[in-house]
Amino acid sequence: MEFPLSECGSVVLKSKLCQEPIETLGFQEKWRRDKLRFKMAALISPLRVCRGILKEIRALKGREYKQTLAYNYVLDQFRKNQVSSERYCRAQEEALHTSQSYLCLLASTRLHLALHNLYHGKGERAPEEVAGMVGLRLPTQPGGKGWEK
Amino acid sequence: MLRNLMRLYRRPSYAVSDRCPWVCQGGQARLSTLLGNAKAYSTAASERKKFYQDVSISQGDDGLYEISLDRRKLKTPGGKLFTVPNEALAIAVATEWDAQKDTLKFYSMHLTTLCNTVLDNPTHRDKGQIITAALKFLETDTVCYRVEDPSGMVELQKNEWDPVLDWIEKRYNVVIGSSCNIMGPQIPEQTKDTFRQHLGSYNLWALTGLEYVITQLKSVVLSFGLIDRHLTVEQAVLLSRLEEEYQIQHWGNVEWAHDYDMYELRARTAAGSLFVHLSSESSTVKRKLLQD
Repeated sequence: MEFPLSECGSVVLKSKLCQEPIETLGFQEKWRRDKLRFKMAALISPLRVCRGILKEIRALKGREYKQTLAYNYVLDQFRKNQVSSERYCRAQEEALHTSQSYLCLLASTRLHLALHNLYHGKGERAPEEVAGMVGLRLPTQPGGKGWEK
Repeated sequence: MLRNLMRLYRRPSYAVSDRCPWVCQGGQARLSTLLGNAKAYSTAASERKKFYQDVSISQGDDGLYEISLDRRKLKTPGGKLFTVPNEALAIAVATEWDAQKDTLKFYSMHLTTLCNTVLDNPTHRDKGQIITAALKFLETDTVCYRVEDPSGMVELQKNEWDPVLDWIEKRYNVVIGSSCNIMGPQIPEQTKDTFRQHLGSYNLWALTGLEYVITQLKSVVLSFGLIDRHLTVEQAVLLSRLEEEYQIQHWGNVEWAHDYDMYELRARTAAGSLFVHLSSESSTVKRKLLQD
């Protein structure tokens, strides 16, 4: 169980939600805390989804994002699906689920591409760089021992 | 000009066989067969220079929506006119094309890929064959296979997967069950018939999307949970990767492998789920009558 991962510079060791070191929490407790995030994802409000999608469109298109087809369509749909009373509305829930999927699609694609460009988009790496990624260093002298003479 | 456009799209991207078409060129063939998945991601092979500025949609005479890139109609890799059945899907696809910066990254355009698959149907399958292929995953469903060993994992699988299994058994009135055996649970023929009948009610577009989701999540149960809106995409992906998440909790998260895979799986699952919902919905507007 003791694996010196945390000493390696670029290996990201993080429990997804909490900043506390992993060892201080029991597993089930950690899991429950992490799950909270996904539970909350199920209850996210329409306004947050709407703003999230618009933010993603902005990340894609930059300043002129308000002129895009998607911007107008999304705003239009969210306005249409507003209801004035608190009555149970199945169509609205369906629309919310669909819009959440769309938000997830946009955000995940963006993050995936970012990671792809960071780690996989540059082709093969130099041995030194690969070693550095797991926190190791190559010996400076090809002959190994005896260089100090 | 049309021929140019055709050549550009001769590099097809399909959801089902999106790894084979462009790898059989010249001396690269052997290497790329070996690399398989990695080839699809090698930047040179799957990216093209962006050749258009504006993306717009228009509705054709038959009510189908088309995508235009600088006034040129978008076509499928098979050379057909690219058409989608509703406005929302057309806008989502147009946004994918619009979002490309200097190069076209086909591997990030999941909805376009799915539409191409339906329009060209590169594997020449009919509805029945797709349903059979999708239901094959039920026999080896992720949530039906349980471990006996580390007790934390056993408890986790029980706590997280059992509620979904219970839900689907009640929702469709079927028996699935779970097993620790390598052979998996014995799934009654009646269960498969129920699902087959249910899937038969979807159209070809929705079925293609559903099969895509099932192959991504490796689970019929979770896919149905997602399509029936019992789960969100994030939850379904989490449940599908439960064992990996457990290992991450113990050994730490490696960004370029775990997060990379997770975001890709989320993007693909979300695209599939969205595709099913958008292509099977029929939107009707009912206006309230104004009272005098």
